[in-house]
Amino acid sequence: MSYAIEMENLRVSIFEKEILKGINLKVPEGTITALMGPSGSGKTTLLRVVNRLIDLIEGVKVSGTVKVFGKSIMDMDVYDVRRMSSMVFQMPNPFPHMSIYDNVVIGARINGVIKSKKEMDELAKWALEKAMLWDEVKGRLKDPPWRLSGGQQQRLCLARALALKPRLLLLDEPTANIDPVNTLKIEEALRNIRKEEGITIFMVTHMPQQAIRLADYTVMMYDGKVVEGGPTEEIAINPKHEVTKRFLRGEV
Amino acid sequence: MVSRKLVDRIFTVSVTLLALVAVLPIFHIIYYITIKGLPVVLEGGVNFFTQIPPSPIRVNELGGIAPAIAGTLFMTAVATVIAVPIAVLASVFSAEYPNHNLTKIVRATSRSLLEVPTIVIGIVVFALLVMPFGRFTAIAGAVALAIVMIPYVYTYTELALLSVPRTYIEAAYGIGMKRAQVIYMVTMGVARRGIVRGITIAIAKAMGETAPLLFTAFGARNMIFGGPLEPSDAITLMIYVFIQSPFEHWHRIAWGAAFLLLVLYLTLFLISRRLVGEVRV
Repeated sequence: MSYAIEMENLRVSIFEKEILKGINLKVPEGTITALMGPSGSGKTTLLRVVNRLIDLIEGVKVSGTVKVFGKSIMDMDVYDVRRMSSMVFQMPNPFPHMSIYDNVVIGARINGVIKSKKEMDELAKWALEKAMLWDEVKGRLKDPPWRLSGGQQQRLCLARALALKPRLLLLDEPTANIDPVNTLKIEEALRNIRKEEGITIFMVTHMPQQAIRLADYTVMMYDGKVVEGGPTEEIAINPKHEVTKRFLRGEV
Repeated sequence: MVSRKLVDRIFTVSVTLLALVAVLPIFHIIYYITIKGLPVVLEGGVNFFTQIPPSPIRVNELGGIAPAIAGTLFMTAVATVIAVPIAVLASVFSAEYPNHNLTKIVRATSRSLLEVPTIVIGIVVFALLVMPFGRFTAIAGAVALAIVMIPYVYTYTELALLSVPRTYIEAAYGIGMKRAQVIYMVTMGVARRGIVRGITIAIAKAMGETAPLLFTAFGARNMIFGGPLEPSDAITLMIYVFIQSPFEHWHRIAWGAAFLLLVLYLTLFLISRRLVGEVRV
């Protein structure tokens, strides 16, 4: 089996405070893998190591090895890392000064890969369809994003991430601020993206139910460490660690 | 229950009244300048914009304030071209490196520059650009105005850039944007309203300044515009001189000029609002 992400003894500290305390983790390629755990367990930090968004934080120290599709991300050009593994954030954050259309294609535009207007339009349509937003916005691509509802904005962010044609999609609690209907839409979109495009999805969630509904594999984190991981069914039905059991019962 | 409603009423009424008292002086100024100035502009007609002012002894002539208009427009434009790039780049640096020592120096300098009386700026430019060349010039005036503008543009732009929510900047880096692209395409884009507001206020400030021009541009109203290396008039300079004179018709011209300045302000703010679309975050 080949892996989208491999982490060995990953340690991250911010101003001497250790956030991740020796992470060993493998995410199989082509799967949806969920990372769950209570608030403050280091899930978001771990996710931001993968696309090196962590570099932006002041006073951060990273040690250990992290490979994405077999290549060490520390040896790669940081911009290539980020294009290969695009991210959807907790709060919907479409660029407020750009139209819906520009939000989707901005990544392709700055990378300069696509030149013609026609290709750009096709990319926008493809990404918006994959994010299950096309039907709702096709007549108003020039509108600013604040005309959309929160759930639509989040799907727009998903389209923006997809338009980079990433091999890996990183999601940081993408439905934490979204209503149930939009949550299910996003989950359906993610299932299709995995199935039809073969994109590996690595998502942080603090809702066990979401991991159960969506993920092939689930990893449980607690206090900066991986407590256990494996096929989601095993984790859900037969958790080995006390903290996982308590998390699934909603106690931590 | 009745007394609670009454308290609420009294509160609403008093807040409204106080708000009216606060804005009253502004409306009074606008009203008074319009009453005094508009008839002069109407009487002068096109000539008011194209002619030079009459000599003191020609009491029945109104002439025009073309030298003042040309000087104000030229010097404000040049000052803007000098000040905006410097101030915007400095504020981009400050917003990107908020804890850098250079940022602290720039911020402190800018803050003190805001407090420096503008006549002092005039004297400094006089010493640097007028004395060595032995003449008053429009360029010296523009440089003095640019120094007045810089801290305004800097302060407003820095504030606007710093108030861009972190999440957009992360999203921009997240799709592989390089630092310069993030600053130019996202941070400045989201902050565009605030940046333009700063530039607009600075331009208005420059158009309304008299003191920095006294020993730099000096004033020259016997021809419309002599060029950048000649002394130049400005609307404010002309008002300052004319209103102090004992001549009735010069007083009237000064009122007309004040009205014109007011109209320039309103146009400036309206254009800048129109030009830059709203960004809702």
